[in-house]
Amino acid sequence: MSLVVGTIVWVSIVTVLVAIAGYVLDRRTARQENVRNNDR
Amino acid sequence: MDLTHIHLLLNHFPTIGFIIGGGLFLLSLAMKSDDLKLVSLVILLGIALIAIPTYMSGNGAADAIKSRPGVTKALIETHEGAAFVAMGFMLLTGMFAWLGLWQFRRLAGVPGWNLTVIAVLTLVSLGLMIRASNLGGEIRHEEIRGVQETVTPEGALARTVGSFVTDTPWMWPTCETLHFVGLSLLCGVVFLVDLRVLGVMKGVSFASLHRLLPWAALGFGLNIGTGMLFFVGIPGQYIHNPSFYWKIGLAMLAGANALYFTIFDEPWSLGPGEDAPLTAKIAAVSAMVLWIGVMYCGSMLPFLGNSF
Repeated sequence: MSLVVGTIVWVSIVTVLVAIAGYVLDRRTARQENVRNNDR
Repeated sequence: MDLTHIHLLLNHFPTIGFIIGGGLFLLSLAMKSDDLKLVSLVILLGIALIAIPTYMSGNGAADAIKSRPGVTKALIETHEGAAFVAMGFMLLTGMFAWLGLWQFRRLAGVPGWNLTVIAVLTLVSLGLMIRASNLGGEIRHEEIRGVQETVTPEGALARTVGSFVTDTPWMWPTCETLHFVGLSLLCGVVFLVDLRVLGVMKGVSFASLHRLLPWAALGFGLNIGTGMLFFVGIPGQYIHNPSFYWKIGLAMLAGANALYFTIFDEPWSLGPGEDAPLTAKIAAVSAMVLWIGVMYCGSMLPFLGNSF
């Protein structure tokens, strides 16, 4: 894999994975917070 | 005092620390004690952070003893490979422990899935670290060595990864780019939180910004991951660089400082329009100084030290 293609591909893959992890965590937290607020 | 002293000072912390932290964590589950759970998660996170300088100082210690009689390259590299894997699992445990602390504050409890993840990761990390410690002991203590040299599945993994980082054209620039992505995520969120505590955007409650903290943690994780790849790539250019010692020291302190904004009551109770107490403001200023210090020392690696 060449320098340019390699960097673009791997930076994109890792950045997208981090974004998915952050998004999923945020959604899950929001859902749990809603459940907790509804329980009150 | 040199890196050999630091390695000798620190190398028992990861094993003993995880025995204590993990033991208290399992006890907290059995006793259903939230206070004990908080303490154990803080210990697991702290020990995971200490595992970083423990690993790094090992390269300095290896330099000092590699030409001594009875010490072989294979023994050192087997220990290094085992420690590399054990540290990776410890850092992962530390990340989930931090997430548990954040969830504890946010959701008034740690979800069951994360408790399971932390318990499993703690036990796996502990097993791997005990093995790495034993392999480290074998380097200088012939009396505990077997007749044949110990062979581990990962072998000299750290050297293999290191060669991959330096020999693959796209690897170093990829890590550099991701290091900056992580830095931007981390400092973007941390400075936002710090500025609010200092009185900027007073209309926003602290709890709203607290929700962003996992993004900062992901950035920190990205930086530790890519940073470790740089380190295993060319350890020699870091272990003799004072600017690097400062960078790691300041990053440890900044990590500890982040705990204040993760779990303490004072910032958490800051509602819209409210002024933060002096303690919170001091913590915010120190966080900014520490992170700018980390960035400064990182940038000065080639100028104040001898890297690159």
